[in-house]
Amino acid sequence: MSQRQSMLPGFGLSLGVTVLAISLLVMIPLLALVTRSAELGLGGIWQTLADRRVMAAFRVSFSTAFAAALLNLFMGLVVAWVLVRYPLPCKRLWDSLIDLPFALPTAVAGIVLTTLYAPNGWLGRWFAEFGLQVAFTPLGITIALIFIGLPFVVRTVEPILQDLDRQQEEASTSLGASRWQTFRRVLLPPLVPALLTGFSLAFARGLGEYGSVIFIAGNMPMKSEIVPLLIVTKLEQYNYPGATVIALASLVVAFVMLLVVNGLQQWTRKRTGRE
Amino acid sequence: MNTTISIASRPAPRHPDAGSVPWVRYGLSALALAILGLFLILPLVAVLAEAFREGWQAYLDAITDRYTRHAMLLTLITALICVPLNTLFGIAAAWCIARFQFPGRSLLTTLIDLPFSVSPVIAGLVFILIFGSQGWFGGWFTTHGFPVIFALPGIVLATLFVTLPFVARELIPLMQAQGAEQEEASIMLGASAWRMFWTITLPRIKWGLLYGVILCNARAMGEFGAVSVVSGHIRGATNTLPLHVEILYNEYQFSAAFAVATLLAGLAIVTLVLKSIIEWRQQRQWENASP
Amino acid sequence: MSIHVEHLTKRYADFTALDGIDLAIDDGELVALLGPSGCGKTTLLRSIAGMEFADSGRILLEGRDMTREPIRHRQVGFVFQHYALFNHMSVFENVAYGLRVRPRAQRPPEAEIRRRVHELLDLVQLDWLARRFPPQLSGGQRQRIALARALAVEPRYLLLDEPFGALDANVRKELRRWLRRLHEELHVTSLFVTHDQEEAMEVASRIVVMNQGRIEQVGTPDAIYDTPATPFVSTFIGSVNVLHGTLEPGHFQSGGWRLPLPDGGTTKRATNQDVFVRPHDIEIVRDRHLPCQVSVRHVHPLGSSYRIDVTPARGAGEAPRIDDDCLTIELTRQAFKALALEVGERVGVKVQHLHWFHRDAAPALAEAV
Repeated sequence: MSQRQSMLPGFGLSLGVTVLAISLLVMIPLLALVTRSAELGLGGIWQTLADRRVMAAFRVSFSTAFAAALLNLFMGLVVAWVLVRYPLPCKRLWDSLIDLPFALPTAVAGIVLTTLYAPNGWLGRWFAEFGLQVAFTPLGITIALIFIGLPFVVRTVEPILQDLDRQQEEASTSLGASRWQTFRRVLLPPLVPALLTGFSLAFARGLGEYGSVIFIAGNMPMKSEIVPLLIVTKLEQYNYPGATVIALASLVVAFVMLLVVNGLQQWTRKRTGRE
Repeated sequence: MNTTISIASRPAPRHPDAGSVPWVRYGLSALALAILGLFLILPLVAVLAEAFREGWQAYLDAITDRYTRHAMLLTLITALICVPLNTLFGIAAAWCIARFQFPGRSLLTTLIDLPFSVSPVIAGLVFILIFGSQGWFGGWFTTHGFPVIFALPGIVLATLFVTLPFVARELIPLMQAQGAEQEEASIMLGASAWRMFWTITLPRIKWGLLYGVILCNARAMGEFGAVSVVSGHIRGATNTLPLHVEILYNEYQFSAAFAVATLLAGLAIVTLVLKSIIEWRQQRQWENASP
Repeated sequence: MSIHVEHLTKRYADFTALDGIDLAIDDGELVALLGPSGCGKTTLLRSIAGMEFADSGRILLEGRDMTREPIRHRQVGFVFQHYALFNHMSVFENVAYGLRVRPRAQRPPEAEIRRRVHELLDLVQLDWLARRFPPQLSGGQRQRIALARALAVEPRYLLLDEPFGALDANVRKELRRWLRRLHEELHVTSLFVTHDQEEAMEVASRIVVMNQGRIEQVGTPDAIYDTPATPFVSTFIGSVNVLHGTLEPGHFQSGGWRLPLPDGGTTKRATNQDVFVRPHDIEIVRDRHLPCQVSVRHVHPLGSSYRIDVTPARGAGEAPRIDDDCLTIELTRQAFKALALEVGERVGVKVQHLHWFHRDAAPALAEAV
């Protein structure tokens, strides 16, 4: 190792502690996931994944996480915009509250959203009048994932919005652009990388989310069963190989997703010349 | 003389978005408030309303119930083990990543963040694969009278996994932004490593550290998915508060479930308040520091 | 308390910070490391302090090899570019820090610490700030506190990294003189890094000019200014006219210029030469018979002096061309007033001093008249 010597103490100790903890808590456990799946062979893995119920769970997880992240993209931008740009009563309070989904245990979020959106709940009743059932359907899952994902978008966009150069906007206005044109051509482009990051974080979280979803999902196989729940179900049936393969597949998918979004982000940054 | 000039040359304070059309501003503000109200305020209110639906007495009974108290104890023990360990880990990780150059540094940074992108269910599952009855070491631990899965060690391991990044993630950017100069100065003046850490490093990172610790604690106490997989849901034995909420809810004891949930929601509110106070302090400190 | 650096080399992945540095600094000297950013001067300073470790070469303090010795054995006081004051400690505690962190056996008693700190704060004339915190101080005050803090441990060597870099121009000038006086009082062997040649000339008794990880020249400020050893030093120190062309017996030919050499000029013909002429080494004379005649193109008043741009004089009725090479001449205010020059006027010039280098030759082949 060609570590450059430094005058500061504690490199060996701190690196040792870090690597030890990462190995014991992250590397070895994830290695277990991989080797346990590998024991099944490609055929076994394929057999597990090709199951109709498994495929349906992936479909449900993907579509709901994607829909929720997409909605969060717009709602998060609006919230961040208003919080940064407009005068608002009790702004500090609102701003602190954004992180509630991070701080609130997911089980609590799960039961309260279910109660709110159940057909006899405060909001569910209202939806029911239009013949729309929210709780115990994919729509309910999406609602839970919106709750969980909202802070990701707001928190990634907020600092960029704050740092935007106001003179560019003024320059755009002085050149005769309308507010909408200024927004679309001057303000939005530098926000795109942050929006993409927020989207991908919300999406990734949505794919793995468990606590807040299982109560509202209804958990009907083929219809409203998400991947994490399917893993738990397999575990409860002592089908460890099945659970392991599905877990590995969802991990791989999540990583590929993150890689794609990272690549996309770098591409936009390069294109707009921002570092 | 310098101050006069800088005050005079500062642009007059101006409305943050003076150029916008009023109806757009009011429209967007209303929309944002509606989103916040619908997704954040309403759930909080609903938790309280549901908890007190059957009156004060039922609420008190629910949160002083024997099993609730045991779940509370288990949650506290878990947090008491996990938070200090992850604090030490976070400081160590931030020190080597923010203060030294070495091959594999960015890989290490990525690995630290990894638990955030892994589903909590998988976080629980991997420990079952290692320590469960069919796992790598499960048989050994069980026959030696030290079961990991469906016991406290499993809960602690799963919680350690999901809370691993919190402190490190707060400290790494903070320490990178602060730079190493003050620590170098301390060593140049003859301080020992220990002395440098207590007199220079720790006082400078204390707010960031506290911030990370608070978030870590909130997650450690509130973790559901990972713990749910490894705990076995044994009432009065391996049931943490979030799991207890689930059990009560699934038994249709809704008011009791929500009563216990108010404890966790209270934890969330306290976390948010402390977080805001620290952010405010840090900001003030920063404003004082810049001349 | 001498410092000897022997063939110090340090390479990073993509560039060489130090390329075989040899340097000797005598006891009690005040030396400047001068060079453009990225020339390796800060790396050299930090290596001497023990804050960085070179790949090869040796550092000797008082003749003892300290290359691998830890910092605490070196007895070095270091002043950081941005001072690195401990913002969470009072000024007093900052200065006391080096005494307080000593092992218990060597730690002076509290009363002694107080006495020493106040003595040092007196020395830097800031005793009245003892209870303040660094963020409440001005840049110049912080700089002086950083110096007091470094001196508290009674270092044998004082190393300063860009000591005036972050200060306003006025404060900087004042602190330069102050540092010089302080050094005369304390006589600690001192080495400071700067990219400002004026600062190096004013403060240091010797200057080490560095470029691209190498030492270009070591010498007194006068020696470096008057007899630069390399083209780099010629252009980096002071302002200079650079012309490229051919030396011939008695004169130098470059583009439209035919400059007569001062007495004792070369007798050989040499092509591909870079000639350096300082603006104040050219004299303007109203003499139609001088071989070199110029047109005055611009006059820039600079306060105490005047800068005059001239181009080769063309024949009567021939307009000056935009691509004519310009020479810059500097005159004192008195000389300018006495001449009463006007733009467009035709005057004669005499070069009093110049030096030249073969463009592609090794630096040792410098010549001058």
